[in-house]
Amino acid sequence: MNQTAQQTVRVDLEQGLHMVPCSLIARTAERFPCEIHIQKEDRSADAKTMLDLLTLSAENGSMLVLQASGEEARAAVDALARLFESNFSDTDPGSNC
Amino acid sequence: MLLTDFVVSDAILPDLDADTKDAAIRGMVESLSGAGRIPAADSEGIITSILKREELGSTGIGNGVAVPHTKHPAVDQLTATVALSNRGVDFASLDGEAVHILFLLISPPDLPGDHLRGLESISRHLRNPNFCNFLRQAQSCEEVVELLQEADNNQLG
Repeated sequence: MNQTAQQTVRVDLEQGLHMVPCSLIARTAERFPCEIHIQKEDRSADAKTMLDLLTLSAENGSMLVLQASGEEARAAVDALARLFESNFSDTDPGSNC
Repeated sequence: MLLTDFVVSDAILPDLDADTKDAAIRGMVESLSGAGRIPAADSEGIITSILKREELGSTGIGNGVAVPHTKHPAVDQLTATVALSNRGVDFASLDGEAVHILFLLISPPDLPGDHLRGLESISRHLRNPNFCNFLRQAQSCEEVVELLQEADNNQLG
């Protein structure tokens, strides 16, 4: 069943949304069949594409809108929101990355 | 942020002589050192740091592109170089493809915003197929610098 879902999340990472969390977002997003975009102000990135995600340049404290449309949209947004809520805790290696 | 603000022209390698990730990273760091942009004494530490970062997940992000990087106190501003490989480097990329375009980025640890803006600039241009195609055809440092300037000026469509 087609759905749409949206949720606003905050980047709570000292180093911002650098390549490691972007990679985890892309890997998580790819598990879902729906289209997923992440919006920061006037920029929108395909959540399944690393190059797109890196163009968000989302620093610590940035607010992002997760938007999904299509099959499993709600589950996709929930899964991505959980990454932000846990501050990517299992994967963020800290300062030199 | 402009590519030409942080890519060191004198360290560009238009014909990278490396088959492996380790050799590619070493060659690029040594090129930055040779250009006088990082202290020779810090080269090994920077190489180790970049390789350690690769262990967390390849920075080969697909489409023949890799962006190996680290944060290191040896630099006080964003410092990068570009390397091109005709035959391709095995980078254990996300899509399994060999890498032909490499941007190596070293950022000061206390400037995470600059690091993100550098990555943003690199990835924004790498999304442009014209930029990637022209870059892969470039034969000299001068041609690469010219392309970076054209990209900065949004002249590549």
